[in-house]
Amino acid sequence: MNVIVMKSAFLIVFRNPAYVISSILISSFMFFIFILANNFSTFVTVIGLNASPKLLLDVTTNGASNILYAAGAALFSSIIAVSILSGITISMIIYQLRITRSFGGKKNLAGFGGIFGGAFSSACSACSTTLASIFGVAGGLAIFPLKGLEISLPSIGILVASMYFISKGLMESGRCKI
Amino acid sequence: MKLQIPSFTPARGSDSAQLNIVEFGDYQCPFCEKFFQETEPQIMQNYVNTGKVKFYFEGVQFVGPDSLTLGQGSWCADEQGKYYEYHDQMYSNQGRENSGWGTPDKVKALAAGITGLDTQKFNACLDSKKYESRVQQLTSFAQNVGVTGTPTSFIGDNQKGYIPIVGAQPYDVFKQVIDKQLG
Repeated sequence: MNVIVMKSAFLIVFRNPAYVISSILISSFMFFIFILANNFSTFVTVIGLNASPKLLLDVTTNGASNILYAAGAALFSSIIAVSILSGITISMIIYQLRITRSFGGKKNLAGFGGIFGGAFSSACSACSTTLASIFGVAGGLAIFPLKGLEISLPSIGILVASMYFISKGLMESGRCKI
Repeated sequence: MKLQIPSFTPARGSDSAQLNIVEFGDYQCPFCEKFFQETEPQIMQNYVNTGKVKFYFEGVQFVGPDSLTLGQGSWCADEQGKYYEYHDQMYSNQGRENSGWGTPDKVKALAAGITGLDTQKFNACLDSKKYESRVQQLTSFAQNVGVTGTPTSFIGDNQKGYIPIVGAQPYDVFKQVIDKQLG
């Protein structure tokens, strides 16, 4: 993995403040989605009560604090890392689409695998009801010795790899092939 | 939705309460412990102790094999009228999931800390596994009413219907649902 290629691509994409802002917004949105996906029924109940936005915010912050409470700082940090990397990756894909009019191929799709990994490694506010349980992982993330880091760490790797391939594609698109 | 609360489950609160809260919990579940520490005391203070709501706890086995032992222990304590004393004792001393804190010997040692409990009787009951099928039945019952994780609480009665709350949610979520159901 060539760090110089990534650094050059980053400088090109993020010299435009719009992409910095979009990365921040997408990162925050992804983190919210990870919480929402794992606490979906509570959000449905609260919305059904016509509750105040403050209560929705309380459920969201409670969902985030529950990840920290049950799975620890390592998983919590890794989920934040997945959210941030997702924001950066998606912003780079948007840049690539706008500049090259090309999605960049299957390698870029790998990034979305990383994003799903983040969602599946996010703990829920109840035992056994994480998204992982949908696939028959009885006991949810409790059965994993590292409480879900087994999923979130590869997700970070996939997202970094995806960012590298996008960077490489961007740098190659800016020069003529011999 | 409607819910038929098992007749053998003791309740906390007044018999004349207008509403029920039925919590399905696993003694090994850290979120149930969080609910016990953070939300349940406020519900007890504002709704159960004031006679508005009755609270039922149904111990199920979701997290691991030791949950079955811990669940049986609650019914052994119930034989001596100590069901909720056992509930409080176990959640106050909860260990990590499936770390071995819920083996029969550990459960007996923890139960010995319950004031007024006849430990010999409790230990003989736990060793007999006479309530194993009850915990299994309660787990099946929970799954049949749509419980997929613990804690899941149902708030209501069979006339108004029950509203589920999944997870260790903040007190304000419970307050909103209880107030809505109390009308």
